[in-house]
Amino acid sequence: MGCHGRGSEALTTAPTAALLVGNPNVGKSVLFNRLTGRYVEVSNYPGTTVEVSQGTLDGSPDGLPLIDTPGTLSLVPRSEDERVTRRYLLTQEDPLVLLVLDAKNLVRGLLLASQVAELGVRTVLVLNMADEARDQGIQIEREALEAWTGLPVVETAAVTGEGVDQLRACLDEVPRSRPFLDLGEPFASAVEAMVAGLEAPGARGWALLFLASEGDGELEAFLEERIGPKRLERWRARRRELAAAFDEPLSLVLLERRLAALEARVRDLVRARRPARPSWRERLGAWAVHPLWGWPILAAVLWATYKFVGEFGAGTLVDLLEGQVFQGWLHPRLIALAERWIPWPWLVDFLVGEYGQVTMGLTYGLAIVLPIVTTFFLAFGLLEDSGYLPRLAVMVNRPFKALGLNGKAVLPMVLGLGCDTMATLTTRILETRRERVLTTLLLALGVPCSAQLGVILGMMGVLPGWAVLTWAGVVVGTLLAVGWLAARVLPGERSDFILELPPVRWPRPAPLLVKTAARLEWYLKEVLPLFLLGTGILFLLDRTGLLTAIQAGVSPLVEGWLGLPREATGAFLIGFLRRDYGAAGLFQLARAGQLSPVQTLVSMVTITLFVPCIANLLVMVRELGRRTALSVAGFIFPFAFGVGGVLYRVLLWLGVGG
Amino acid sequence: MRGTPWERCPLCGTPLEGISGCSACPMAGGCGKLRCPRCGYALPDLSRSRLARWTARLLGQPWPTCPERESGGSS
Repeated sequence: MGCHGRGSEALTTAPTAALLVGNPNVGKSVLFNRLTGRYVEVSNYPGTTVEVSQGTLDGSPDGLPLIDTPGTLSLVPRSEDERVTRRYLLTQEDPLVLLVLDAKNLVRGLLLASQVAELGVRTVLVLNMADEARDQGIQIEREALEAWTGLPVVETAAVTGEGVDQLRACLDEVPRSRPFLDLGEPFASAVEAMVAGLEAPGARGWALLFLASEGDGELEAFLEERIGPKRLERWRARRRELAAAFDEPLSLVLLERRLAALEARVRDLVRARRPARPSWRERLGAWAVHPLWGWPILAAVLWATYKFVGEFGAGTLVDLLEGQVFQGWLHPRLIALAERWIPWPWLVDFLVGEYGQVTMGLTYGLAIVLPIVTTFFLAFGLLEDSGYLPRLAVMVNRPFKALGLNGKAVLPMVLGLGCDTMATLTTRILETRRERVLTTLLLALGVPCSAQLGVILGMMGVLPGWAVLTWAGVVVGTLLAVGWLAARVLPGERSDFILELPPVRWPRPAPLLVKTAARLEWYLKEVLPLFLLGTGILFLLDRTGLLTAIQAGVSPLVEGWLGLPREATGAFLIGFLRRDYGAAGLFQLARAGQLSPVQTLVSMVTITLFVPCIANLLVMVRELGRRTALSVAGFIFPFAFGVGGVLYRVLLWLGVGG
Repeated sequence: MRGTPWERCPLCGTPLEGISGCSACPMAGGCGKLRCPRCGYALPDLSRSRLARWTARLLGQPWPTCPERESGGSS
């Protein structure tokens, strides 16, 4: 690992602060955590809403502050975050800059580094993610990079800690940077003339920033203070003169010059070596997105998930927990205790009655849904950690694209598998309101989130194979039909779906279990209370007699149209809060023999097409406005019952029902 | 600290670095999930989960990989 740059001016005075600077997502914050001590201050940069972290550089003799600046692509800011980083670089007195680059994307990082180097500040280049670069066969000629930039270059992998000690050791003697990029004429001569007579080490950088930043009042105010109003006026005249010589804005011309110069030079600094024969992981990754082989792989993944979640989770584990532990052991004891010690019958009923918090709410939540979601979270985590999820997105994109749906709409649909509510927020990436409404509708209609997918898959365990295939066919068919229809009704410009595919990885058990534990805690903290709330509502409705009235009122719908028993009404009512809770209620009815396979299938299709949860509805209101969100919900609920009823009639007509 | 230093987005591979990406969400700060700033994928915020921390200890998994701190920032 290198430490000392060549050809730059060495300094004897101490810096006032260290700045961690770099593009977004290059591992700055991880490195910040590695380099600082236990206590960190997080505050907004004065006058902005931009959050900046500050700690103390570990091992520095005078407790040098280390500031984690917001990620920026260049010093010509396009956002408040980027402006804050530039302010730090321009106004911090004699800083030590740790410029973090992604070793896999040297050009992008060096674009920023070239601008920082022109400011004449002590700078060390940190090639982070060096481990990933090596894995990808990328080799960087570090010494040649040092010789060219005149800056020390240290390779690190902040995530594992590799190279961090070398970086620390290097920080004592960091030289002041100098420009290392030749932007050619007429810029070279113009900058020479502009900075003539100026002593400040950053003058060349200021001049180039000024040329690229037409109309940047903040920069002009800074320069006026540093170079005086007369010289600033001359700089303005020079900029007008240069601008007149190009058809494109100077900012763009300078950016293109920088990129061209960097790309030409980086070609000599980076060697990419590819293995002669692709590894089994690369081959598996390629098969998983293959137009032909990708589908059997997808089917195998779904089958394995179904076996694990539907048969093991919803079968074996639920039988054990719900059947033996809760029904066989816990309930009789708790009921006996409650009846013996609680003098108020309504409270006994509230706790251990038909709609009791323990006998229904906790039993559904802990004995039925918990084992199902545990197995599903494990399976889903396995898909995430193996790198299959983005490949699934690529596969799903194909039928959507064939239907004429905007490629950008596919991403929120895949994200919905993680959380529909958050996926609804990502519909913002869609350009038109029509597309946003359509994708939100499709998300709410047919994309179950991971917890809900787990419960639904669990319910499959009680169904015969034909019913499982029918459920999948109806839900996917509905989604595609609505998508196809909407693509015709709401035509828009088609855009491609671009996703970088990470390598296929072998999942490690410990992180997988940790992640599953976090998901289970989320479930217990956020979903279980909703189950208890739903049970409380059912209890109240039951006590007041309203439940019987509602059951009678919706009897034509539930019993007549869907062909379900009256008891299913309660499950649909709580399904308005969260559809997995409703599904758990239906699952329980099916296990108790109160639903035939056909009734289970019809009820599952109906509940799968419900709005996912109350939180999703709230986010829809926020994103689309109350009127549109209620219209979407107003479409979805009748549509769900409509599809369920039609399916029931089709099954009757085919002679399957009964 | 928000976020999990060693976790990458399972969908697009972006290192999450403690970025929550939740500022636009009405439930920000209370949902126990992280949102990838690049693709928007939601995943559990391990740093907020005691159960995850306990599981990590049980399995001898470093937690977090980076020095433990009371609070932290994002960039």
